[in-house]
Amino acid sequence: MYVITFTLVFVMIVLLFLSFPMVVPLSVGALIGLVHFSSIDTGVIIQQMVTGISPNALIAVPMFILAADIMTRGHTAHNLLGLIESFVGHLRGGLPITACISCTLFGSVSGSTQATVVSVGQIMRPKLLQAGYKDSFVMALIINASDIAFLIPPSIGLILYGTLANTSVGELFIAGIGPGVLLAVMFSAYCYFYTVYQGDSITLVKKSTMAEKLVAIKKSLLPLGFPTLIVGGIYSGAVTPTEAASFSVLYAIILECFIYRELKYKDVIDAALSTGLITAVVFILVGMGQAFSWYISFEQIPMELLAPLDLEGASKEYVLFVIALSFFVGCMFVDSLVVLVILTPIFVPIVTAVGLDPVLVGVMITLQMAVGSATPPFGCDIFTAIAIFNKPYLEVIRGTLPFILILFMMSALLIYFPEIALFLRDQAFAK
Amino acid sequence: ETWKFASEEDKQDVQDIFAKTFAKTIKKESDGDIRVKVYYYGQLGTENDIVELTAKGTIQFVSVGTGHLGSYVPEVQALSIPYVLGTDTDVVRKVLTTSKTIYGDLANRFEKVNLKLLTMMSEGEMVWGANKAIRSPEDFAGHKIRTFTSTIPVETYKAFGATPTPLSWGEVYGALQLKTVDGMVNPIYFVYNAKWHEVQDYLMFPGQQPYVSTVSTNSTWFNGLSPEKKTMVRKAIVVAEQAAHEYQIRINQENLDKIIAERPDLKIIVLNEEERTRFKKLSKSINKTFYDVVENTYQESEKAQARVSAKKIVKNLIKEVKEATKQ
Amino acid sequence: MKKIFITISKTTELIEQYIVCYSILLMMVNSTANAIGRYAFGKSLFFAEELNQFLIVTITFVGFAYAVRKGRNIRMTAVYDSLGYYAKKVITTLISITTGLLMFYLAYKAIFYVIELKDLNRLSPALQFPVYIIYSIIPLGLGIAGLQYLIAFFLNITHKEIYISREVVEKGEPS
Ligand code: NA
Ligand code: NA
Repeated sequence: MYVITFTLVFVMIVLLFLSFPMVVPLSVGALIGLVHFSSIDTGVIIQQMVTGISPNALIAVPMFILAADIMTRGHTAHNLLGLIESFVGHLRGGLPITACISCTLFGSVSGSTQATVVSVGQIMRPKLLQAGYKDSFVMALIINASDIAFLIPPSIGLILYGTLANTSVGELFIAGIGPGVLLAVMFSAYCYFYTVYQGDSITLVKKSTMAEKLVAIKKSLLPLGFPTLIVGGIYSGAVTPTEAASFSVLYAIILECFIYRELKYKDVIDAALSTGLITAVVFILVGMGQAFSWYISFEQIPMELLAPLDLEGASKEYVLFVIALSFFVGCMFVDSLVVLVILTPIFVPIVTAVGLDPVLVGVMITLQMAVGSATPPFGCDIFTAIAIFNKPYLEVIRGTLPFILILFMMSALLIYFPEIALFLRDQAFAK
Repeated sequence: ETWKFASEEDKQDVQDIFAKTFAKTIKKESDGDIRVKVYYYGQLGTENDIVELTAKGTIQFVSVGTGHLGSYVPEVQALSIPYVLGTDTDVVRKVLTTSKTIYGDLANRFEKVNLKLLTMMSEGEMVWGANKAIRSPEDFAGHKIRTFTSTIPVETYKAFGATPTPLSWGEVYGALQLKTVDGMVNPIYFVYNAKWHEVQDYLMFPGQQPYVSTVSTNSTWFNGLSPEKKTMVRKAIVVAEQAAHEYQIRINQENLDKIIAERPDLKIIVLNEEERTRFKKLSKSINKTFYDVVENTYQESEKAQARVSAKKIVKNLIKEVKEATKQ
Repeated sequence: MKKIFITISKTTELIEQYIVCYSILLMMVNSTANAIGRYAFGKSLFFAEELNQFLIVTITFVGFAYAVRKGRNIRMTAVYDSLGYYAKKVITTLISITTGLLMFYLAYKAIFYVIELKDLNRLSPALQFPVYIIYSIIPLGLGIAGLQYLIAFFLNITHKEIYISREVVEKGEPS
């Protein structure tokens, strides 16, 4: 078992560092496992690739990519940014904090971290670069702030965990809010100190007058229909998050092609093509990741690796730590929702046995999913950023470390101060 | 020797209990020579994936609902027609385990995709969830009900006057909470596990149909087993069916009690005979839908024959249910 | 000969572009129509989800082939970027041949998967449409991707330049 695991990890890392397309290490990992260790027909790879890209929630990704692309090609994004700049452009850290909060909110509503990286990223990144922020900082901020959305309702991760662990989704939703907000605050604090530290290279715009602010508001009235449409549409129950994504495309087309008359049919077609390309390079990896993880669960590798750790008799903190670590490591290599499905059922009996609160465990797991999606080597949000910004891998992850440290700190806090998650829950459900 | 058994459900759900009991029995009967690895929801992919993996022999046993199996064996959807099986626990069980139609005509259709049908079981009555009382087709007007994306359930709720709305289940909790859809339909134990009782105010027992799941094995593989091993499998299936049956009754009751305890304001409505009769009448049209669905899957030259045999399956099933009810 | 080859390449590129763009736009129309139908008229498109799944499969595999053509596959180039011309040339040549062969192998496997689905006569639950017809796009996409890598391989062994793909040539000269 250890030999298989070691061989796979080793081969995959070598291929990765030789700069093979990411799809190669993943498929070679799956192939070696299937052929050499299990003698299974490798056709299952194809079947599982399709399974990996089939969940309906993934449809939101190309739709938000397209909407953001159309808006950045036209006037919408520009006007929205004008509004943000007129209010926070003169404040230290104003722009990156706004980006951070936008990512958190957009991610929570859209339910897709990849879509958030694209929409908020594509719109805010040019402005941040223009203000003098380093690209590595900007990309790391966007990726990590988007992942906070895992914790804030409605969260697919929490819903799926609730079902797998037989835990109230309502309670999970409320328990996710505390850590989610705290993370947003910590990231914002980092943005502020970063700005202070990098003070010289960052230009702040002059504080705008009331009249300028009014002009900016007027200009962005129609573009503001975009967030209103999404948030209003989803929370009123008129549309699902996936459908809201499609409506945002429709809205962007109407705005840019018919109202502003900024874009032509040809531009929309170009945007659609570029969207398709970005979707494909990310989804082919999501699919191949599913194929790889199929092999892992077919051989029941996680169970066997965890068996030697005697968890049944361990302390609560230790169990929570092992769970956090397992999910973190899993999410480094495989898509976080896949890890959730594979690992949760393994841990549920242990959680019950040592008397941990399953709601706390759910929040901890979701937090690790957030960390994992932004952590190399395999991170969907990293891939999305690479594809959309057309930047090399290393450049995209260069600025990630401080954010990961904050996320680790949050994980440690959660182990020793579970009230961060449970306080609101206990208030709401008065146990 | 290791066999592999995959189910479409989570750990501790009815199919998982079946699989685990099956594994335990085989281990005992073979004196530990044969180990059955059990896979639960999502481990080996979707419902379709595990059916295909069994058909080609990567794994040996599969358990899925009739709805999913319908993509491969369309005739099995006869069991999804409303008010055919009814919801009397003993009648349903008798038919699902002993029916000549199921283990004759229907099982033959399984062989066409290299599957051998071993048994079927009920996982409990399908219950409607809603935010208002639904006692008549009129109450269904404008009611958006989440169903499985398949012709028979979609047409069933259309016939009842509702708006069937296919949604993948990950989206259901949020959609019910925000009222994007108004209701859903599932067995009680599953409603509780998915936590949908948190976002519904009414649960209706319409006496319409149970959730039926099937257990099959790879036919070529099974035929190649020694007679002793075949007997062992048959025996383990019987033991597992018994365990799953008892568990189904227990877990549905327990989860109903939990729902009532957690949501004291949630109303539970059992439709009376008169109310059920109206839905039964509307269900008649679904028989024809079923014939159309089956016919559509065959080549031009076989269509007429397929339709005739689909009719025969439904007719005989209804007859068997009647006979079982009398006893 | 070379002319025919370029014509074929141009034509397939055009087809790839058409398929990808219109699949994306159709996805948008499909989802919005479903929501409008349900919200305003109380009628859902019962096949909306299924159609979206078909479209996403199409976009992923055809788009992948197109991305290979454009040299836009995701790679971790941290080590690679620090290397000199000869090392880069060797690695890129190695990558193009192995990745090309791997894609052909996967395409070959995909053909068998499609045949299996045809034999099982699997129909999509809502539209009752044979699934294998849609999934035929998988071996096609993987095959074209493999072909692109092989073309890059031949260009790499016959030319001085470093070809990431036929259309994308890396800057840098032998020093
Ligand atoms: Na969220
Ligand atoms: Na990761």
